[in-house]
Amino acid sequence: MALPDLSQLPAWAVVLFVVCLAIIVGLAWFGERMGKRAPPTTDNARILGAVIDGKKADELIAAVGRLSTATNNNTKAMQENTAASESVESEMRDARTDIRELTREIVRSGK
Amino acid sequence: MDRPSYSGQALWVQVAHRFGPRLPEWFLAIVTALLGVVLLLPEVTFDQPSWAGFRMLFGDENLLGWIMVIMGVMRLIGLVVNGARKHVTPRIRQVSAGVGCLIFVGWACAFAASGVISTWLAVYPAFAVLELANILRASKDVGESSGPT
Repeated sequence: MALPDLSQLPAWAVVLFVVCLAIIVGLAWFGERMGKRAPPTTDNARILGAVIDGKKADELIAAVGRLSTATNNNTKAMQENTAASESVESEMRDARTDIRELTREIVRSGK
Repeated sequence: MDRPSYSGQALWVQVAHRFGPRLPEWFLAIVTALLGVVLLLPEVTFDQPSWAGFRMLFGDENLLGWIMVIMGVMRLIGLVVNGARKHVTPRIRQVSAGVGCLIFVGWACAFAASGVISTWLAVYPAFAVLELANILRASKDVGESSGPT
């Protein structure tokens, strides 16, 4: 695959390309200026039939994201809590056997 | 708590949320990639009379085909990245719309160089104008994200 031979390009095409490039750069500059002057976005969003402010919709999305993270953290904590409870239960079961043996020892010794 | 990008379902929600206003950009990115795929098909497209300008410039249609596929895929990746990030990066969209505009102007020029009037006259110049609208929209977003002067 050889590189394109741009020397074959007709003069009008080169001029058109330069003009296009100038339009693109000009439009980008103009757009940025417009954006800097414009107030914050006011695009409305429709959620369950209700029209709400676009900024509020973004805040809502962020809040749902935070809620999701908090729920995940809570689930993890609950799982750890359950594991700890199971560990305590196991320890108590062991302790019950020990206490029973200890009680028997005390009875045998007649004290 | 503030992460730079979304993940999982939140990523999909965010990309879908921003998809509507960026539909023309997604459309033109897909068109760019598909034009490349068509050129890479086994049929020799450049042999047709209206493609004489392309034959003169590129010689081999595979070169142009791969360029178009790569450009289209890169633009699609850019749009996904843009939709996934919490703080938008409209500069990617601005540059890719500029490149897209030059591509479609180039296509129109190459068809015009063949001297054959065909449906290209109604399609590629219109795509180039659509890209100008995309540039304006992305540039406005750049201005908004960088704050007032």
